[in-house]
Amino acid sequence: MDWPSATRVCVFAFLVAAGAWASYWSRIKAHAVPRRPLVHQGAMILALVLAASGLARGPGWLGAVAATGAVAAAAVFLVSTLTSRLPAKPLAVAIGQPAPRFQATDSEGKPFDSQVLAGRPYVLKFFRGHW
Amino acid sequence: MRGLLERMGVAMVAISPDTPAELARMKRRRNLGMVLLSDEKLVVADLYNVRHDRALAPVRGPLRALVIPTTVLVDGAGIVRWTDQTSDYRVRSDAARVMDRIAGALGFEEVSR
Repeated sequence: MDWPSATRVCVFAFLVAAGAWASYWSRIKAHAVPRRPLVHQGAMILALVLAASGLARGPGWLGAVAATGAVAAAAVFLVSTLTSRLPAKPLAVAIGQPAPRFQATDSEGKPFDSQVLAGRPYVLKFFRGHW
Repeated sequence: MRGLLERMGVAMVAISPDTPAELARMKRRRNLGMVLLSDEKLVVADLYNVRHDRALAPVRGPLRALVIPTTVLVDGAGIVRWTDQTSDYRVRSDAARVMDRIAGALGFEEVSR
């Protein structure tokens, strides 16, 4: 296609960001997310630079849309991966010590008391849920 | 994983800050058989000291209190036998490693292979 060079740069920026997201998503699905996703982060920074470069040269509406998409995708990725470390807090329970009894509400809205688990081993998994 | 736990006689209880209605939807959608518990006010999370204050939560809004993903294995006598906690919410525990640790802590042979 005979697009102006600024548009081509913006579209390329979008493809780089989308490709990096697709690659990262496949790692999520495979439960194989890299602890330090440097390659993906590098690709996102490249997409940001390309998008800025394309936008500065007046890319027209298609280029502007592609560059905006690239910037949004890259920004979300970089913020989420650069802020994903969790606080280091000591657990309030120690191996070899009794597990505390607790109460909560089950998914049917009924009260739950951990006492019902007495006598049987169990795994208690804290997860973030919808966030 | 749940099948392996069942074979070892281990119950699986998962707890999150979600409401019971949200958990019920998740249970239905993902066809989960385990017990899902709601800890909206993070009372149990505080009991275990796994609250994550001011977390970046894209769906619920930023700076919401969530939990640090944590696994605690308790034996039939109510004693904590193993714990596991991630330092990065993007990185999930390896299921095979978790199963081996659980089996080892409870005196079973390794089960992941």
